[in-house]
Amino acid sequence: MVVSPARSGADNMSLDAGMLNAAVECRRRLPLLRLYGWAGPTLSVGSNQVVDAALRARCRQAGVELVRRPTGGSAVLHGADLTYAVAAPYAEMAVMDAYRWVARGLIAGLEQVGLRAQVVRHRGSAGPLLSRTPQGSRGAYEANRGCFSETVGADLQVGGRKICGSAQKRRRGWFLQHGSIPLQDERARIGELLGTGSRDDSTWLGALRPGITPGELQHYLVRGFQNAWGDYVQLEEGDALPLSEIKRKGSAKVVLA
Amino acid sequence: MSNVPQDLRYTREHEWARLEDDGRVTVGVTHFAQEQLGDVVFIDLPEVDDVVEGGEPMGEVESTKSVSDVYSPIGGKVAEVNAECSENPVAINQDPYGEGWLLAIEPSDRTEFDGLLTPEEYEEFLQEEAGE
Repeated sequence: MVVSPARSGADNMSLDAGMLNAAVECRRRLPLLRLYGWAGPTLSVGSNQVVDAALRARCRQAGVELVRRPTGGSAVLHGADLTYAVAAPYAEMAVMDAYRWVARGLIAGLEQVGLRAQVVRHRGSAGPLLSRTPQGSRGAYEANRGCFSETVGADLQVGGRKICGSAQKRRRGWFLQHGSIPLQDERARIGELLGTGSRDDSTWLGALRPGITPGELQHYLVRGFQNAWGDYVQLEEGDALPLSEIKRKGSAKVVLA
Repeated sequence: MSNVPQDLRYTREHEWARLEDDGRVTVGVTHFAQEQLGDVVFIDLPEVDDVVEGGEPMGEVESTKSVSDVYSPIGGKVAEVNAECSENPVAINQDPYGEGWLLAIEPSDRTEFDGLLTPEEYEEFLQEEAGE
């Protein structure tokens, strides 16, 4: 487990891609977990999400870094959140099994804060997602689609409102899973960035536990994963691959604007 | 129990391959793979005439909660891409060995096909995976 300092969007995505590559190459059986922040406001879009000129322009004007995640799904605004990344073998775990396995750590961590989180039951397909840009390029999600604007199976809710959105990438028997827990209300800001202008119905940690800091949340999540995964989890010493090695294996193809 | 047709060959990354009469090899993802992924919403594949390498990633399949690499079982040139499946990717869930085929490859080396897993070997591999 690595509790990382805040980094740029490009560095964070490169590290996470590297975590997956390193786990696959080393055929590593123990999970790697990284909990981290962001050096500045960053919009991450899904692996196959359409990015159009309008989105790039809005991000540039707002001083928001735009990066592409190796994982799927749709856009997440980072900076006032805490993000996790897990790289682990999936063996016989189907996609939803893997989400539930990771959720055990998150739920245990949120319990430490006094919150009862639940995994949303799968609601089936989120509807037709195929999208085309005017230039004809296609994607799984339109450019204006935000992760927190909809709740699908495997998301975490508190009091019926989404508090953690997650996404996954699978490669050669291992998976990388990302997730974000907002600490502040960023709904209007992402609505502006995506051009939807709308506020979704998600919640954020500061609304439920006013004054909680990212460091405190990190601390509780570490304890949660230790409780949920037991001996799997050690802090950086002796378990995690050196960050320099992970970074070396990372992908540089993450910066979009 | 997973559905493993006896007339196909397989990879450890859960693709299937069928040698057609004209020498082309049709490729898709297995029933087991689509079950693991859930509802497929998007596929990203190479284009006709692109060259693919055996055992290397050639595209991605995105389901509602995951993205998975798709590997080319053999090396060669892409001869045909299933455009209907690109428009309606849930065909991969509904009929992975039929309407959900992904593409056809003109193999550069036909013997590569013989090196793929037989149905028995793939079934054994699935059992090993489940037992780990």
